[in-house]
Amino acid sequence: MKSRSITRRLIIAVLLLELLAALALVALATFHESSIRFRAFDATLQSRAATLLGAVGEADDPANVMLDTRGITIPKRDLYSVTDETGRILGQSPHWLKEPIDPAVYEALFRVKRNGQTYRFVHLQGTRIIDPGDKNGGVIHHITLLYGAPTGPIWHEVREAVSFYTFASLVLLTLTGIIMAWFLRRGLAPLRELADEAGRVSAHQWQFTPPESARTTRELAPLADAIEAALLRLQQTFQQQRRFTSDAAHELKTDVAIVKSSLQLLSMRPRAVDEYQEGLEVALRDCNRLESTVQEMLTLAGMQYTAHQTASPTQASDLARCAQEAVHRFAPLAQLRQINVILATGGAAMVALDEKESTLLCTNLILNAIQHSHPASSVQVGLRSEHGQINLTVDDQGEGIAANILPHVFEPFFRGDASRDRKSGGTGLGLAICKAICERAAGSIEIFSTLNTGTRVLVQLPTSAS
Amino acid sequence: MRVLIVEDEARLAQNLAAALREAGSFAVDHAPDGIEGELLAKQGCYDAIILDLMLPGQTGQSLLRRLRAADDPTPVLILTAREGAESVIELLNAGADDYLSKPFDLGELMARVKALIRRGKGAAHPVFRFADVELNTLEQIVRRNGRLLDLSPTEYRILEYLMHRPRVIVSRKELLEHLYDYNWEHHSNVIEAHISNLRRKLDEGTDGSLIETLRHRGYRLTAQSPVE
Repeated sequence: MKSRSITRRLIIAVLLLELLAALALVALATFHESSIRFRAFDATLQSRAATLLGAVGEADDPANVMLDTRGITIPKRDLYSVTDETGRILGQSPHWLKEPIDPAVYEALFRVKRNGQTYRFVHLQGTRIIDPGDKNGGVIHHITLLYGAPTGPIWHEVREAVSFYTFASLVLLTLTGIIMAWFLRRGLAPLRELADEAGRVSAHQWQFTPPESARTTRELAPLADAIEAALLRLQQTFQQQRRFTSDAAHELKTDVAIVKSSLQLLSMRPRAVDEYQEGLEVALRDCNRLESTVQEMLTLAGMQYTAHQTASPTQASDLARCAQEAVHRFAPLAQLRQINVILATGGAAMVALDEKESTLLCTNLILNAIQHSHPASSVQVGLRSEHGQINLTVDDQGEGIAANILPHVFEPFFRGDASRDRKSGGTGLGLAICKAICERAAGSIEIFSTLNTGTRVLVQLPTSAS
Repeated sequence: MRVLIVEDEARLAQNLAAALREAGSFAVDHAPDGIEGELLAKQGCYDAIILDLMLPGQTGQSLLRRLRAADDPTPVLILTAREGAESVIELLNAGADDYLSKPFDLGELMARVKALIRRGKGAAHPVFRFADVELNTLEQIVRRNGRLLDLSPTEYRILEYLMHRPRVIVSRKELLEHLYDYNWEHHSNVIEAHISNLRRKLDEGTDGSLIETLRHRGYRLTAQSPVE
């Protein structure tokens, strides 16, 4: 994938804007410069033309006028032509145009293009009265004066000014580009520090402290907080998994140690056939327990793996029937321990769990209750459906659970005390599995217990629509 | 020799006890939790303790620390299902003498327990010699002057115990404590009877007695020349 740089994009965007501004500035400057210079140019032309007009005076011939340019300096490239009312040329610049100018264009100011040069002309008209003191009032001469100069030099000046602005803009553009790059680098430093800190996190090093710079940057603070929170969740999950793996290894090693020692004990010396037979049966029982430990671990691992994917709504089973079956299944055990199991259900109770999960939930809870009941006591299993929720309660009159142990009973492999150790046949996974099942059905499980009085397990599951 | 097993896993403890009794002629007691384990260990009548770490009531580490804090020198072998050098270092520093990871080999466990007991009593070699008596703790056989003696398990155990500490007086109470576990219904004169049988088998064909009886004090091995 093509990588994109925020810095580069920002710099390019700003420089483009600056370039547009510079172009506009150059255009405005061109317009402004040319208008000012041409106004000044026009004024110069007019003043020169006026001076020239003033140089028309009485000729040697008393009735006529003439142009006397002595004492007037006229720039070499300027053109002028002075004529009187008869069209007689009173004076003309040495390079006067070969082609005459069409009188139709005579205005106060006009432009003429000749020999590849553009000239700007001033058209002045004036009168000269010869002998005004004469009794006839003197002779009146109407003078026409055309004075022009090439516009080339003006345009040259305008170009000079514009190229200065252009150059200055380019220098400023480069400078701002460099300064902005520097500022952006500095400004984005907290982001790099945050990335560096995040980069140090690994499975062995979960420590993540957002750098002060990132925390105090308004745009980065949410990112830093999000990373911190996400890492905390990940770390908890990871530690949970690691603890589970370690506990599982401990359980399996213990079970394997039993099987191995049983077999080694058997082969320690030659024995009679019935001794071997008995020993093998014992070893097989040990093996079966190892197998059930593995089975429960896999069940729990499978549950936890799919815990966040809530059960598909098409799955549904009748919790009431599963509870009945569980009670029926453990009836012989209950009878043996003289425990009276009382089941109270009110019709079908459909929950979003498959048949296997519902059965597992009921059997685990009811077996637990029977195992931890005092002999000649009763276990009550109740199932109520209300407000779209199914409440399953299992009460026993057993030894109860101590308050300091109660918060840990749902932890995998947790066995509270000697009475809840492996002797009772449990792997310490039963309640953890129950919790995973309840969470799968978007429900909850809670345990209330009083030491030496009894325990109540409360399962709350939403009623399944189907 | 008498060994205490502190292990909450009943089946494992059963197997260990059976193996120690059968192949090592040990007297074995079993405590299923840390509290009872400490109670039994503090009796001071064990030659070695096999200690599990994950125990109800009180952890193995805690039991070990309390034992060592009370200056109890009994050799302790730790059984652990947890890996990791850290915990091993911690355990040895806390006063454990040896450790084995589950699942272990029963033969190895027995060999380690025997080695611990030997070293606990100041002997390094598994074959003990005293005068012209040779006792092999591995094969559990006794020879005198090259002649193989046919001893009962109890007679062997008495002789083994005495040979661990030659010339030291061992009381009848101590013998009772270290040779029998709580499963045994012992009678006050049971030791005397065994000693008498042992002495008969041991001294056959010789003039003096290797086992000396000290009235009201106990027994000891003695290599003095036969009394005229």
